[in-house]
Amino acid sequence: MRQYILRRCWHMLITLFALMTIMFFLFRLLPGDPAMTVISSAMYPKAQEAMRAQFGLDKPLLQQYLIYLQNLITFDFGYSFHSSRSVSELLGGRIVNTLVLILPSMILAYLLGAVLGALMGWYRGGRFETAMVLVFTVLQAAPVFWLGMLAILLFSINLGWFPPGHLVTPGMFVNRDLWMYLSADFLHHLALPFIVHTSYQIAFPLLLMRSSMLSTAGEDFVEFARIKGLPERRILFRHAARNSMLPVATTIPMILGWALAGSVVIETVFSWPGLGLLMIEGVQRSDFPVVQAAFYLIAVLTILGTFVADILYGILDPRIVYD
Amino acid sequence: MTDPAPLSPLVEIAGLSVRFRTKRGPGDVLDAASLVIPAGTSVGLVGESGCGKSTLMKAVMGVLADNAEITAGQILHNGTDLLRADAETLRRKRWAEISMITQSALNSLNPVHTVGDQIVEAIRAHRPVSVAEAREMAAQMLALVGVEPRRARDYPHQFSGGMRQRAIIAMALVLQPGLVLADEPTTSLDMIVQDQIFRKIRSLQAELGFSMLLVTHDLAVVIENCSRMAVMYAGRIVEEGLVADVVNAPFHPYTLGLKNSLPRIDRTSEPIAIPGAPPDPVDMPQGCRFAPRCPFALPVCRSQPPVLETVGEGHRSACHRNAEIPGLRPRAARFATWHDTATTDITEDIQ
Amino acid sequence: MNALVHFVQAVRQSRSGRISLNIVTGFLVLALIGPWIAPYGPFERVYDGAGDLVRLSPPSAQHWLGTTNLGRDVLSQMLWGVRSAMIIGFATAFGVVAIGVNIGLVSGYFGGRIDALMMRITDIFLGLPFLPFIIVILSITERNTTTIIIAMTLVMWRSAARVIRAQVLSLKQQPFVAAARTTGGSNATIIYREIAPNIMPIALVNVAFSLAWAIITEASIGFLGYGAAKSISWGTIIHDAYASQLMYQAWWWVMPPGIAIMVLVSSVYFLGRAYEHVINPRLARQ
Repeated sequence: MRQYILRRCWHMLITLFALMTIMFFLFRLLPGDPAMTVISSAMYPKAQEAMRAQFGLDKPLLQQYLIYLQNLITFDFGYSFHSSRSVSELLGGRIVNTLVLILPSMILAYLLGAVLGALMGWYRGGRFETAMVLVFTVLQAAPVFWLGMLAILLFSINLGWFPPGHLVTPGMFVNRDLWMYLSADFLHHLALPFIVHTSYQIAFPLLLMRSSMLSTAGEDFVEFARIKGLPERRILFRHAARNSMLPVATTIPMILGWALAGSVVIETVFSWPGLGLLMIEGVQRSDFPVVQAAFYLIAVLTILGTFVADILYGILDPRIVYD
Repeated sequence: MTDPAPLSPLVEIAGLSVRFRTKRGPGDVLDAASLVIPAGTSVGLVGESGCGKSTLMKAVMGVLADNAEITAGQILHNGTDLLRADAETLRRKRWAEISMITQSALNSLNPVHTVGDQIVEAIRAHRPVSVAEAREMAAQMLALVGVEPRRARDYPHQFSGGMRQRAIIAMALVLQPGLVLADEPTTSLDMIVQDQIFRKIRSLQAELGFSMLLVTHDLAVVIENCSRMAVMYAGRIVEEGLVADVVNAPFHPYTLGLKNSLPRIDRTSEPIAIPGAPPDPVDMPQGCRFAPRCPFALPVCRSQPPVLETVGEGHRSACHRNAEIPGLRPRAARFATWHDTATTDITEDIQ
Repeated sequence: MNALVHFVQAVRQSRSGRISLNIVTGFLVLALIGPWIAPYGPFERVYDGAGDLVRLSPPSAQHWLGTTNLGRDVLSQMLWGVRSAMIIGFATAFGVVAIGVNIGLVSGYFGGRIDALMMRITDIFLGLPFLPFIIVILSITERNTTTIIIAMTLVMWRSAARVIRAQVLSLKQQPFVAAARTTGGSNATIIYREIAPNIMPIALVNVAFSLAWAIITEASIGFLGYGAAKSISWGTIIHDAYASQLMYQAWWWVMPPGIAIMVLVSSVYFLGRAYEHVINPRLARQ
């Protein structure tokens, strides 16, 4: 087990290293003077200077690459082109904002999706179930940004139940600390993007759980549980659903990665100041250090999430051997 | 294992008919099957795979597939008709009064729970005991079937095939039910382990005194383990009686054929297989269902279904030619009778 | 071609399969003829009799789906958009599966070091945050249909490769592969003549799911403002409405592209699922 974790950590480092190398050359293989791509004259002079020194843009490519790697490892992302603030400073709260929206929403989507999907698979064949399959397939097929816009139109503009975006009411909090994240105002703002993201994400685990239940229900051990005279609910949850969870659980790493990467879209619709929005803003302003840092962090979160989900999977399925 | 003559029946299956809805039409899987299991005995039910013996067992357990429909009959257990009992009564009876040793322990055990937990949950579904008490009961039972109790914490995939089968037996006996159904309990195991398992079952039966319905395709297993037996072919019981009577003096040609397929140590001849295949449940023959494969079939056999007739004390057989069978037995032991195109000649010969 | 015929026959076995097949075929036809039947050009500004721009007109007899703030006909934009959704969707889906099939075949068939290397590469691509990666690429290259297809294919082939490889691994154990080996078939022959036809069904399922995902992703890219610069797509229609800050007033502008995506993508999902049920009867159990 320990060996497995060590090897996985090693693989994660290689993956990250490869990704960052690809990014480095992607930006620098472009036609034109790299210094000009990276440093625009619109920048603050102080930032311009700092950039040159930090990225070593006057030095050979290989040396630039080494400096680049060193900066990433030390989480030193330099300065934003657009404000004289350091990128690390900009990123700090953004990570939290993304995670606070995406993680609870994914957890709820998987829990609720598994339970609903299990019930649909168990009591299969009814008209209600057919309708549910249709509804969730359509939900899964809808672009999440469009669902978000519909939700804003309905719940914010027409009904006035929720604010249409942003983290908190502007000007309400001076310090973005723990108290802000626990405030009613924050939760009020969180509600709509949370609901939209959850109802979009729920379709996948739900439909997968349902079809997984359909094949598990025919397994001998489910029939055997019935022969043992176990109560129906126990057969449903402890045997059929428990085992049907396995193929659903294998998808968590992949879907978590997609959700983190896809946060770009939901954050844009709800003006949610997370990593995704930061990255989009950075791309629009050609704020290269910000884009690179945001991309790097999304990649780190994705890879870490995959790793944690893989470890959890081993707890669910005792047959998994870590070799 | 002697058979004290008149015993009160523990289970009485009467006229049980089950039909399966399939894409190709209704399949006639059980047709008026009747079987009595007297208290304290072992009854063997023999037949080829697909003959309906597993369906009969599932009907007793009340776990027939969704597309199966019971069209007639009753299953009396201690006087209660299981087919008309409500779901909760049935659930309580399962395992506590009727338990089952399944064919494949690997598939019956849930891979994600420990063996011990799966025994404990069976106990606690029927007895108001604490988890600790249930664990203790499970440990004792595992020891009794020859599995180290500490292995209860292991998962099924960590057990060998024989151990898994023992664990299932422990599970089946832990509540001391009056009846144990055993569905080909050793097919997935090698010969030596098979023998150990049956030895264990017999000694436990002597100790605990449960009745057993042993379903198998292997006549030898029945001879070794049961006092009474029934032979099933294509959804019908075709012969039944004491094992000694049925095996030594079989009446139904199918039983004769089954006996031929046993490896014979005393004789030099090779086992003879019954030619052909069992009929398609969706398209059953009109008269006797064995007629298409029977070397002794007459025209009447193809039009009229035979009924079970008494051919000896407690021995019944469903064949139109019951009376002639004793004379036909030597012929039935010959290879040519079953595998020559001369089949028709024999029929004409007798006419 | 045979595989395609089989696919159509298979999905037609279920009602949901037949309905979805009709819908997808309908969209394909629109992709072909859309530009001809569209009343206006995608960027054409429409003026009324008095010479005024028809801004933000709600649906009317003249403009079935209304107009945008720049006086463009939404129905025409929608009809032009079908083509780019279909071209980008299908090209990406086939690209993804073509790469996935080849990597899966080679990796699964040879095993050993080749497999280990290929799977490490796949893992690296699995670590790529897909949408941010596409956007970064599109922000530093020209944005046209081709670059969008390439960028999307680059991040999407990875899951197809894994699925196909798993299938190849189990096919490799089959006797017919051993038979082909003993009769002296070269590796290439065995891979492409013996194994490849057997993974066609699973590859087709992957085409369907990749197509669905590609259409949604293309729309997301358009919505974020990184759609192809000189053409219209459903995503860019929503982007224009969003960027103009008018999306909550002009419902006729935002609803059609969303609904079109929803209908098309869910039909593709149903197609994939219908076919999956036929090739994998385990799923079909009632």
